Amino acid sequence: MNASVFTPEHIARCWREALALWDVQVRLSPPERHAPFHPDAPHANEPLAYIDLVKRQVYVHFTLLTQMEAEDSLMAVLAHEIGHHARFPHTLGWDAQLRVMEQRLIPGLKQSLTNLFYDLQVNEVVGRTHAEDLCRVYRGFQRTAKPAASPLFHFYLSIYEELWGRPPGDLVPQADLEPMEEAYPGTRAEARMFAQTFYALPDPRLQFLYFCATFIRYIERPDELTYLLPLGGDVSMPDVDDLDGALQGGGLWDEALDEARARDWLDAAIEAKPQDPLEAIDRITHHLPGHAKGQVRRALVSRHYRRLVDRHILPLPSAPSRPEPYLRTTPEAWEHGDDPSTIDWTLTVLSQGHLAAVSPLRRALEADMPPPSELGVPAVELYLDTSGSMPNPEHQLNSMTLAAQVLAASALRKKATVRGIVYSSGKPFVSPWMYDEERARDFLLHYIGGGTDYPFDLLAELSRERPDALRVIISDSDFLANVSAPAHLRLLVEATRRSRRLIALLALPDEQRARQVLQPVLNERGFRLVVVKWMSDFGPAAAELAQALLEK
Amino acid sequence: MVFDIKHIQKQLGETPLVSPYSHDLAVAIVCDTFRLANLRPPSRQDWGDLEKRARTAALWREQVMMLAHVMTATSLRAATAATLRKNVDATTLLQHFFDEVEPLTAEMIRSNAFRQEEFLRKWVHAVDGQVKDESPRESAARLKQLDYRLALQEMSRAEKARKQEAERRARELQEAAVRATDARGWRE
Repeated sequence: MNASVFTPEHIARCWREALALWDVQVRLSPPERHAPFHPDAPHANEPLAYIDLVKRQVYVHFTLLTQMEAEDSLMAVLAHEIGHHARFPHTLGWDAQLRVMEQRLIPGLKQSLTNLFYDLQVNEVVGRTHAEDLCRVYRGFQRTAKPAASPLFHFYLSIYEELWGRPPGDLVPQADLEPMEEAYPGTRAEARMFAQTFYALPDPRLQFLYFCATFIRYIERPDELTYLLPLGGDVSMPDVDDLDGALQGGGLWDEALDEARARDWLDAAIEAKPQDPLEAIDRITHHLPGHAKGQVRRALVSRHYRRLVDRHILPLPSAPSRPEPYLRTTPEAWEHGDDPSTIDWTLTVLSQGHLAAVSPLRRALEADMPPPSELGVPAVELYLDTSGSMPNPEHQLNSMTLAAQVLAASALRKKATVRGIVYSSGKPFVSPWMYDEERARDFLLHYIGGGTDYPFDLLAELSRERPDALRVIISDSDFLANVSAPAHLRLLVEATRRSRRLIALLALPDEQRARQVLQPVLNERGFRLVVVKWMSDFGPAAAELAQALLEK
Repeated sequence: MVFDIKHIQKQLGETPLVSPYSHDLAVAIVCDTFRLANLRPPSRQDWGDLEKRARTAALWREQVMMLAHVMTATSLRAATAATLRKNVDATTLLQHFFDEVEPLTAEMIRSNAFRQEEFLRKWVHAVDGQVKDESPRESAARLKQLDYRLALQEMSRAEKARKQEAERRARELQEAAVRATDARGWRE
């Protein structure tokens, strides 16, 4: 048989049958021919078929299917792809949840196993009626791609042999059976038990935990795992929203984790550890390719800090609350049909005299709306110390960054403008004046590392450029070391005089020493020193500071 | 008469999952099946002995109730009555069957298609019946593949190996965590 067997009519018929197999109403475009990613390279490394869950489009590599001598399996291949859309995973939000959990159970895993998990689910359904068609694809793949012997692949295929009642060696190479059993005693029994247990589990979360707990045995080095399977990379990657939702939805797994623990599937050391959100972000993004990795991680970290900021700031009402109506309006003639309770009898009697009863006057009540207040919130300049004594905010919670985020968000919600100066040693990062939270949050996640070298010259320059601004320096004891030089202290005093207010928010074990060092500037009317003893106090202190400065 | 396992499973799928019968009623249903084949059913004393032989009496009662449920809900009862040979001793047959299905709980039979098939095939094997569209050799191979007791025995070997591998993996995970921390360039 050659590629010509794939006529439009044949494809259309297979497509109809594949749709009928799932017995659900799905909106998918008919399959399209896959254009090879590397036309000059051998086809064996190209995907056989995949579904773009965003575009809802299935692609099939017909030439590869022919090379595999699996032309008759087209319907099963299409049904497999439809299965990803119809049931497994169905949504990329679910896929994201699994990826987050997978990295928690198998930290550092380079290539996600979720696609294998869905394939096991999809193939069970398709295999009920088309097991031989799927077997043909897996056999054909081994003939054409000649994959290196992999314990993971061997175990995976053994499960299908057990599921479909095939003899050992029907899908896996006969020659590998004995070496595999020696390297992993009881593999066959485990594959049988897996096939007979996995599909009977009542909950997909429990299924996934069982899947990970079983498959981890066949992954030699999680951080180096890559695999190539037919139909093994055919589901799209979840986006930032999906991953963010999954990171927040950890509680949904508690019940399944408890049951998995009770069934002795999970290594207690792994599953009992509470999950740090930034660590989880690091895990689910570390295997992504360079550019995408940075973007996705930054977006997820940014959302994490936004939630932390919101925890410290009381949400401002979007519209002013409606006051009770108590002011009387000017009198009008009451007419038949109007509410009798609106009649002001005192006014009616006084003004209408003996005609009061025939022509009463009515007055409604209205609220006394306060005049829009002049907030008078100035521009806010934030100097954020990101020296090596504090962690990179993308990897670990950085309390100073959080404090800056809290102050920036508070100011921006009061319609102020914010400028960030992220410094450490060397040239600081200086933002333009920012008007929206998203941008400010993103900028304040910058990190330099290294020593602390407060940019006094820049402070002087910016204070001349925008004299009325409110300036906040967020640092620790290193700032005192920087400011102890007389020239620096003089610059700080001058900048304080030019600023509306200059506040040093410092983490210090001993306030006394700070008062000694900062004595000259403490005499200035516009200078304030705020000291926090513990790093964890930075967020609440910043929130209180923001309230004191901006909520007047 | 041959037993159509797939059809029986389909019939089971269309009935309530939980056996509606009490133990005594279940015993009566099983006894009636033997009577339908013109065989003497086990006496009350024999049932008492069967219960005593069981490793866990509660589990055995679950199995009796499931057997009665499967018989009344499907064609298994009629096929059994038609298949049972005249010289069969009902008590010995039941002894053999309950020995074979010993680890299967009612929950397993209800919720796991493989365990359900095993339960049915072991009954067919006990009454010396034939499965539809299968040679005796194929049926024996399938029964061996489905044998939960055998799988549990083989799994113990895998479990031992797993424990050793898990210790090694824990060490490797620690090393990977250290490498990841180093790669980040910042340490607590």
